[in-house]
Amino acid sequence: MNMETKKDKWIDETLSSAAKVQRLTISDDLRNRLMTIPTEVKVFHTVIPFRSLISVAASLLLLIAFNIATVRQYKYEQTTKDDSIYSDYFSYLNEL
Amino acid sequence: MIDFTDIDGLKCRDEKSFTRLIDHYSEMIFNLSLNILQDQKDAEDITQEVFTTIYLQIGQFKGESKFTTWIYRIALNKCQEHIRSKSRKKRLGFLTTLDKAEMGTAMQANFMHPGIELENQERAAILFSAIEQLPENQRIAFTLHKIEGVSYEEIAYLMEASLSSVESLIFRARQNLKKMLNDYYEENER
Repeated sequence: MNMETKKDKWIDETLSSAAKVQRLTISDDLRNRLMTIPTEVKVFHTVIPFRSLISVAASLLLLIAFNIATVRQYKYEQTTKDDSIYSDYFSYLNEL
Repeated sequence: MIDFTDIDGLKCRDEKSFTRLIDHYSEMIFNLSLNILQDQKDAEDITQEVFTTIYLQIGQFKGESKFTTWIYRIALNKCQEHIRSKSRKKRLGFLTTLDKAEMGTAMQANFMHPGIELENQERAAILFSAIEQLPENQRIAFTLHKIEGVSYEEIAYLMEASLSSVESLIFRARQNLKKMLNDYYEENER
């Protein structure tokens, strides 16, 4: 058998060497660890009181409303400011 | 594998149902973890983590897939997380070590799978070492198909990938393994 064929055969055999893996059983130690999970793990059910939920929702609504009001106020002030600049300018031109 | 049917019992935190779940799936999860992680202690820790997750998150199982698939997916995710955290630690070690000799990435056949016949153990150890060098997705897809015997369709579902990408992953894994084994043969067996 030449070297290349021997090498290819070795590679193919190595690639298929793990094909027939036997299923292993778990150790007693692991089984005991698994059996204790229900007693060791505590499941917490977090219940949020309805009153707290309402308070949070109301606070959020208030915050949003305040933001909208601020934006509108800002826009209004900007428009008034622009108007006064134009009127000052035209009255100055009229005086000239 | 026959699907586990006592889901309602698990949801009610019935301990007998949980014991039946352990009887039904512990071997499957342990063997899957062992084949992927190549370390008995890590495989045991992952098996424990998987059962803890099942116990805590059973309420999230909606029955959209087979229960076995759901569990398989949890186990696979845990194994992936473990591989990632291990490679992060390796990278950190790589950065901190100054001794270049310790940085070699050459194959070291040191995992003797206890489930493989004695006559094949040495070769399987070389193969497992080569599998460990593969990129994570190739490693998982190859192990699932060639060692666990999972079909391409199931792997696609488990890895949330298309069938063609699974085929490509396994093909590339095989090519890479052939190349690594070729190099190993040139260095050691010739």
